[in-house]
Amino acid sequence: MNKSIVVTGMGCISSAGNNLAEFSQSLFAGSTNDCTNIAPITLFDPSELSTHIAAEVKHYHPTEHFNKAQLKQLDRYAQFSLIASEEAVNHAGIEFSSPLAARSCVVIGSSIGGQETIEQAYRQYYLQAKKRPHPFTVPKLLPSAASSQISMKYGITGPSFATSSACSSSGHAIAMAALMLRAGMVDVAIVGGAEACITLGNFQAWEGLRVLSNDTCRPFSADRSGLVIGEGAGSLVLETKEHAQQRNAVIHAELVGIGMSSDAHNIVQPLMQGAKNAMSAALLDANLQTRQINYINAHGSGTIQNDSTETLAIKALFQQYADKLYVSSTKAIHGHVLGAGAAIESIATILALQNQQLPATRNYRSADPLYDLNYIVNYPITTQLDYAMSNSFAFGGQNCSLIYKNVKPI
Amino acid sequence: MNDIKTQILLILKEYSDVDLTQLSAEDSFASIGIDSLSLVEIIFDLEEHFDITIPPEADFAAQGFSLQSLDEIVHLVTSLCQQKS
Repeated sequence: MNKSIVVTGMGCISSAGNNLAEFSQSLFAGSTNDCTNIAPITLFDPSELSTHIAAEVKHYHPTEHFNKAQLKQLDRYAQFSLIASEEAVNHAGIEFSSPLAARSCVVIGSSIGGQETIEQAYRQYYLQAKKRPHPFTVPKLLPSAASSQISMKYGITGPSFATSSACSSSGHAIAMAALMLRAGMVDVAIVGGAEACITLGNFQAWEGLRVLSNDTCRPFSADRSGLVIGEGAGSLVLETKEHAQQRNAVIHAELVGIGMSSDAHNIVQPLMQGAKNAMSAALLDANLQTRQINYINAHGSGTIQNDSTETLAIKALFQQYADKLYVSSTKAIHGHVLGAGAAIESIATILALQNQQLPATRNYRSADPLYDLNYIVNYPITTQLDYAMSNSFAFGGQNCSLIYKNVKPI
Repeated sequence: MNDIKTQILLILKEYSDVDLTQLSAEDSFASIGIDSLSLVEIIFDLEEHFDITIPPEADFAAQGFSLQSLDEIVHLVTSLCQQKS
């Protein structure tokens, strides 16, 4: 029999707040005004772009968290991952002393890794006549740098690696760690995702795809205009239920279902069947019926392509229950944090289960007659929740759905 | 020579909290808190600053050089600067 996997710690940093408490406050704030977490870009001069907005982490001063020597080795994305992981570890109240250090793992997802390092180093090399990039360029930009830094910080000597599957990266990180926990390879995992790619070169490239909004992120709203890139990190401490109970840890939720699928279709266009397959696989893994899911934290990127495929996939899978379950996208609150998205949205989903309150799709202005699920719009709602699903559907058709269970008696 | 040493000390200052004016010829970098990773950066800085190329460790070791202390670095950099000119 599979071991039960529980969440005992959470931490995050994003445009929606620099810690879990601030994130929770932003998540459950309701308004018909546009969410101000998405704002004009300050990290570079965007004047030559047609997109001038992003979901940046605010009031962030690296030297308040790291010393000079550490910062030389840490890209912004790894800084965020260390900050979120420290909060999650403290939240879990766990210490990785021997022998637990060898029975623990770190799996962190990132779509790109050290984008800021890549751009700075190669701009200096190609454009500013610098003879070569700094020797720490490589260890800083690696998509696995964050997982390495976390394992070093806590002395975790079990498996440590990165997952990279575009916008599903941290969903796959959670899935990989959960599978290791279920298999009995490890007892505790630090999992999550991190991204920090609000850079001029990256935005130039994204603009070419014609999916960025210069309005704001309005998932499922008839006047949607595309996605808004965000930055940040989310980390969770996962444990086998047995291990958590042995140390009397506070359990925040149970991870009961993992579903993964590939569209095998197109490098950017999503496919309804792939999304449906991931959700269906998660239900099968959790041994749940469609009617038992109360809430879906949708991928909800704010593009017409996603709104269409995700809505149709939910209808196709949930059929007569599709209109009964609640759906929202929290990307209007924290932006599209790419490789960190699934981790941050898992935290949003768990907070919803804990609070018995559903975060809204902010920035919603008008219903689209084509896509008419039971979306929660602009204001959170309070309801009874047992099971909630979090979806991540990435470029290249790499899909991941996770199902969390409420552990508190209702 | 002294000028090169002064310039090297200014570079090393970035990597150690120790008062480098008190550094003796025998003090190893490890003893003043400069680890192998910092040494990679120091080599990079020296190459940039003096416009020299410090060869791979095996090559300069074969020529009798090492980079474990201040005097050894001064010796190597001086030699490379002379070769350049």
